[in-house]
Amino acid sequence: MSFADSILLGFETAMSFQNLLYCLLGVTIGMVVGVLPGIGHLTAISLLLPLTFYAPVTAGIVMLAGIYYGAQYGGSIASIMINLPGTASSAVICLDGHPMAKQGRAGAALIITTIASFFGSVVAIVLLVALSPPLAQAALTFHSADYFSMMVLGLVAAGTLTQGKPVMGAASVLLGLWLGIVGTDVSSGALRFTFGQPQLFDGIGIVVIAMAFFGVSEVVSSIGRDRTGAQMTGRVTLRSMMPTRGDLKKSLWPMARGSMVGSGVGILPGAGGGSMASFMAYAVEKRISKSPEKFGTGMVEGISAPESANNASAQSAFIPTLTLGIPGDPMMALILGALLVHGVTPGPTVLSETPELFWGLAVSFLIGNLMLLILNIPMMGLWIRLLQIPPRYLFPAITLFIAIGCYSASNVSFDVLLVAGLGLTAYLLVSIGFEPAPLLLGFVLGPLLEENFRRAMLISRGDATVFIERPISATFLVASLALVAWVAAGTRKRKKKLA
Amino acid sequence: MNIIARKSVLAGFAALVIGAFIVWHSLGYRIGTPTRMGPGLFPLTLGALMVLAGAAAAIQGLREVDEGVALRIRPMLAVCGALALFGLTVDRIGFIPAAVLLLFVSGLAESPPKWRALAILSLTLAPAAWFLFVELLGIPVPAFILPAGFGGAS
Repeated sequence: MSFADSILLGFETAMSFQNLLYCLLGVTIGMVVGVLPGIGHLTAISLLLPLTFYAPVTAGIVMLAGIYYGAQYGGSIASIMINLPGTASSAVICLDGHPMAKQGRAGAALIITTIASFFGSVVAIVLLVALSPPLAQAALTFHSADYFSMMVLGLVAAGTLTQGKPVMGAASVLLGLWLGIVGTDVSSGALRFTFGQPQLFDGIGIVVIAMAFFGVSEVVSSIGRDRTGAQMTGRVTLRSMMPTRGDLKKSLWPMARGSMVGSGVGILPGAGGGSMASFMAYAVEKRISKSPEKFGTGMVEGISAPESANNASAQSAFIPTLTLGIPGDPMMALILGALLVHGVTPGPTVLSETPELFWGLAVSFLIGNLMLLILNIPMMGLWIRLLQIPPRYLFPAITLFIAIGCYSASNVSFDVLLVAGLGLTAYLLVSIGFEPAPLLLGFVLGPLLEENFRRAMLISRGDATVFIERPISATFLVASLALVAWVAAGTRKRKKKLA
Repeated sequence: MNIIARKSVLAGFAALVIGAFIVWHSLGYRIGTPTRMGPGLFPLTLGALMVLAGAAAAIQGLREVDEGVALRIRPMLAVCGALALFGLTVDRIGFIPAAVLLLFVSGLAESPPKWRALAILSLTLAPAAWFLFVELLGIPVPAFILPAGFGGAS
């Protein structure tokens, strides 16, 4: 299929009434959860995951993706207006966005972040369209040994590049891998860790795991928390949103640099998505600025670069997910899980076997971002008003959605009991230092990792050197080792500093 | 400070116990040969690595000044209890009563509970959720199940 045909197919798919509707629904929900501090996009997507099982696969993924990048737009509104990030990746926007609001330039800050978001997304969508076909082509030559090693690299990255302790990151990945293989073993038919419960024979559903670790655990840790100090700063009128020519000019290069940083980080496995991208972009801007001391006082560059970066990473994260079947962050793990539930095996064959899914998705990103750009300007006042929803309505509602969502995914009340028990465990584990993000990645990759290892060993007749004899596999393993060594060295250095 | 109340020590210990449990359980499955892996090999490896990671975390935690664990017991019990209650009751009393029960129990997470907000949610959100999930999406669960004596569905 020629490139023009593919793009045409993409437009045809994305412009269908159903897909447009799901796209609009997704980006709107994304904006709402992005704006509201207290529910992150991971919580929202976990809650809405079961809903997408009722839609055709393309429409479902279009909606989930829309929530993701919609939340990247919305997250900065809370950062600017009340100095509380709506999503983790917009935390860095507080640094310069809130001071701008204090100076009475909230409107300008909001519009600059919207433009920067759009800019970053478009750059990354172009990359997605340009890079995916050759990458998928290359991945077609991958053997199971290569896949195994690539997954190892992704998991090592997810485990070590966490905010917490790398050893606990590793333990979380391992726990996730284990939860992933509960149920019937595909190759031997043996029942593993089912404890005689027939409901566990098919394994634990991704909905239950996601709801336990991103729903229940989040609700428990934020319910009833005081949000005092969250004062609304500044008033926003349509007129005040007109950015000055100076602001736009100052933002152009930061947006370009931010988009590049974000796209790069998004492609990396296990890099944790938006938050790392936006922090890196901020650091880059500060380093090359002629007046780094002014950062934190309301510099336009300090919001446009990270905002472009987190949106770019939200889009480019789809590249490894759709072409290699390796999710880079927990969000992509959920997308991967949703694809698997729909019977699509993510990987290099997606492009050739279900081209309408890939191209439709890529074009829907463009449409969704346009919708966000257009919707945001007249609706900014409404989004800001959302910040005033009292949390006492929010958390019981979320709890109800967790229960119904789990029930609807399989129509058995056992799953609701399972989410209650796992949610309790999840809250306890997370509060002592386990990390939900690497755990979810492990959960999704667990069965794939085992299967590829088994297949590689079968082909090589039990010779484990196959993993270092194949150059692709060896490269991934060396990279994993280097990452471990780098993190270990970093930990030691930090300790020395403390001593 | 009690040694077990220290965060990293506790986390390491938890990982160690879970890992040991996985190892012990995996030994009950066939391990197989390298060419033909049995179902036990993969979990056995995972469990062993987890024991190592847990031990490392616990030792690290012992060496450094560590923070304690602050648990939010009340929200934890209220939210998880509400979910469990929904799971236990939804097939017996119907969707709407189970949803109302869940809302009120989860509302106990806050002290004092916001009764008015919970009542508003029960009157608006519970029917809305029923309409969305049961009517539109077709989850097979009735809105109300009356006790047999009232002539309802039994």
